[in-house]
Amino acid sequence: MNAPQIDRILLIDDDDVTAFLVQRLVQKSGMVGTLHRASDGLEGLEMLNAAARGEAEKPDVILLDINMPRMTGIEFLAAYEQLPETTRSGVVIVMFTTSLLERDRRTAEASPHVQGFFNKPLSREQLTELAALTQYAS
Amino acid sequence: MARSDSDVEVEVSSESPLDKRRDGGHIQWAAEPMLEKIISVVPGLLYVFNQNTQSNEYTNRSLGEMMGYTAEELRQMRDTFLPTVCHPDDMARIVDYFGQIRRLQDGDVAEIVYRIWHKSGGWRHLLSQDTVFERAPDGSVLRHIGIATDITVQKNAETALQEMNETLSVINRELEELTYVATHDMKSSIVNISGLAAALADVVDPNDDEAHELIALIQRSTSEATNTIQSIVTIAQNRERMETAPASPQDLAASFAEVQRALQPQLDALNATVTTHIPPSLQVIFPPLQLQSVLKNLLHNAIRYHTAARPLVVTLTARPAKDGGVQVWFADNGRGVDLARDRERIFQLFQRGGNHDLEGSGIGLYLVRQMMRRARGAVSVQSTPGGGATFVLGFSGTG
Repeated sequence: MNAPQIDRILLIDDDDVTAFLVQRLVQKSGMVGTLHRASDGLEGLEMLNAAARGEAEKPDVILLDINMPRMTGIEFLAAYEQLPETTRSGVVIVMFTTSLLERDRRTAEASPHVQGFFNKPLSREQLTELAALTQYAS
Repeated sequence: MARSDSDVEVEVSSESPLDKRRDGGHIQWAAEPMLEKIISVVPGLLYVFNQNTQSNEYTNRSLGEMMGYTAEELRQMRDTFLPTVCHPDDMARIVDYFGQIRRLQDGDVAEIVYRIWHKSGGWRHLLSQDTVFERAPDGSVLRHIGIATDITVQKNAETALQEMNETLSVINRELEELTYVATHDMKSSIVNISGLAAALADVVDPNDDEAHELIALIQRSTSEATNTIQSIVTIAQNRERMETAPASPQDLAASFAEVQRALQPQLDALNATVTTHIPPSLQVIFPPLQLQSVLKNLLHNAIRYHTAARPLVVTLTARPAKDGGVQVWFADNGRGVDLARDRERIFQLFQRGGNHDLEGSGIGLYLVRQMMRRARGAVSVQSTPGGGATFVLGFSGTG
């Protein structure tokens, strides 16, 4: 198996089936080192803060769902903006959603931290695209 | 406006069309017989107001009585009538309005709407319209003449209409939200089913043809459901865009040329001929992107429903309409429409004419009608089966 092209992905999504399918693709593709999952934006933030404290590894990629309980993807982006630069640097955020609405896309793309907009389900092509984005970011 | 019902003795110039007469100790102004007839049928209150005395010199009827007050009550209120019965929020405007009347040029008409408390309970909305009647030697306004009309019924209808519009807006927003949530949640589930079916295809025996056929059917069904959801979202977004996009004058020929350029590869593939007969600089009042969407849907429709029997010919003819709008005939020589069966059906959501042998979402013509109606226009179809179809677009002159 080749070396992973993406070291660490953090999937922020409340949907278990999505998480299962992403996990499965990650395993089969061999393109990703580790996959972590947060069930909503708040948990995602906590994981980033833990990484900032050195208690966990910082992700290279965040796959961010929009519609989630407690903290939506859009709310997460606003909170992410407030994180220290050191916590945010080198992280690629890609929206990962089933939303078909232009307004969701426009809102997400207005954030300077969002570098892509993927429609579910995750595909190998999208993983390749993510790998290219992480290389560009690094 | 009529400030009070008091009649005050004043001198009037001899040019006045009204005669002075003494009645019950007060001087009133009596109209000429014909004028009196006219005045008697004028609804509401007709009055002549003297700026020097700050009182009415003539009224055809009593404002106080119109508002249900007895002569005794009016006598008691006398100078305090207006402040007593006028809505407190309107008093300051009324004072300003008197200043406005004093600055009127000859022939100008000032107007104000204010509320007066009717003795039976409830505010009555009055519309006063005033104009200069006579000037003093120094040129200042000496008298103005005005009409006060009770427009309560109209105002109440306007208020009810406004409330209804607000209610409808709330319902619309709720429906939009419902569409958003429903489409998102349905799409999420369908995407998951599709993903799980793909995962299943990976793990079942490659030689199990029946299992793979069933999985393929699941995939086809999820794909169809996804298309339907996408159509619903397209319609909802189109509605949202129409609400926010302002209509403005659009050059019809230029808009159509742009649409034609976008679809030129498909037209070339059919060896199609497109002809336009549009008067130079003819404009339609429409939101620009929506106009292109209307024309694109129609041209796309002509391409989709062409007949192999002959090369596609599309003709767009436009003429200014008598009502200030524009009439457009968009004709093709394709399959045509069975009007007896499909005249209305083709404009309905998820409905398609003909025998459904071609792929189509069934929303194109629905969107065309939706956009035309939103811009106060209309679309209809004329056709002979097998002889092509002509879509007639009636663009409103105001958009």
